[in-house]
Amino acid sequence: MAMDAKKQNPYTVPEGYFDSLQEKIRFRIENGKKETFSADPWNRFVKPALGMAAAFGLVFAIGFTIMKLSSGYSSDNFSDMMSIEEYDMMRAAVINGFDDDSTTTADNDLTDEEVVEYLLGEDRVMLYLAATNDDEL
Amino acid sequence: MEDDRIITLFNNGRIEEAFNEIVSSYKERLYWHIRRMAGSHEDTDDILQNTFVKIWAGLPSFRGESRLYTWIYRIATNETITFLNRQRLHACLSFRTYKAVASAEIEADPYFNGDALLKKLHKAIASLPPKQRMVFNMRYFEEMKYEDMSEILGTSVGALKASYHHAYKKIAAEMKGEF
Repeated sequence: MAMDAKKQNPYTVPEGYFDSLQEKIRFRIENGKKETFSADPWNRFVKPALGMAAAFGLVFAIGFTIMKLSSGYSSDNFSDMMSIEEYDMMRAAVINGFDDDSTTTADNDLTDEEVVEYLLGEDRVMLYLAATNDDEL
Repeated sequence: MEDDRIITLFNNGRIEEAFNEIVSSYKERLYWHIRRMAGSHEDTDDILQNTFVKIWAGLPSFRGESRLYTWIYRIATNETITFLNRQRLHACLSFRTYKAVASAEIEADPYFNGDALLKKLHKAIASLPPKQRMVFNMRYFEEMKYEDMSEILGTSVGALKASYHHAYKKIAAEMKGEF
């Protein structure tokens, strides 16, 4: 295939790099090495902390939404249906997840009918009715 | 065979000599193995040195249950993937996609001497998930046998073939019409 023609190595190495490598390795073995990502406190601590907080907030919000939507009998009005936006968001989060290795997304496609059938499954309806009927608890 | 000589030194208790032979014999191979994943020379240098430090630390307890070649490559590969996963996390925390970071690295690399087409190809490769990218590089550039890759990565030959095939198709789609 034509792509095979592009196996040439486009990377180069600083001159003399390999000649001095053994010495550098010996130095590192003898002296150890502490890893640092950045000397700047903003980059090293604040930005990662803010990013982590934002990421957790987002995960919590999506998880809470999914839980709320999947337990439809927690609502006072069982006939309340989720909005189209909530449905799309839930579907995307459940099906696609956060993995950017998309080898399986094609296999996980659900039809709208399958999603609605799951949410309105007979067992769920019975559980909801049992939960809301005080006499049967 | 170099590995046989190294094993002989090792078995005779000449650990330091065996290690020096390993560095001499493997430094370039491992450098390119890491470089195609890490992108920049500086990061590659750091990972490569860490790899040899781990080889030095692990050599006394090397039992020969696996071949020296696969043992060494396994250490280098694990160090590289650890680095890449950390890089992806940093990209995420900096609100950037990993693809954007990898692309920027290639653009900024003063030691990248390829033409625009090669640059596009390597950016496409860099956008693959780390493990899939490693499989692709090992097969496409290093022309490793699937059996060797299986020993190094701890993945079945079938899964490796599928991963490589999938990666190849992704890259070919990105490069469509360029060749």
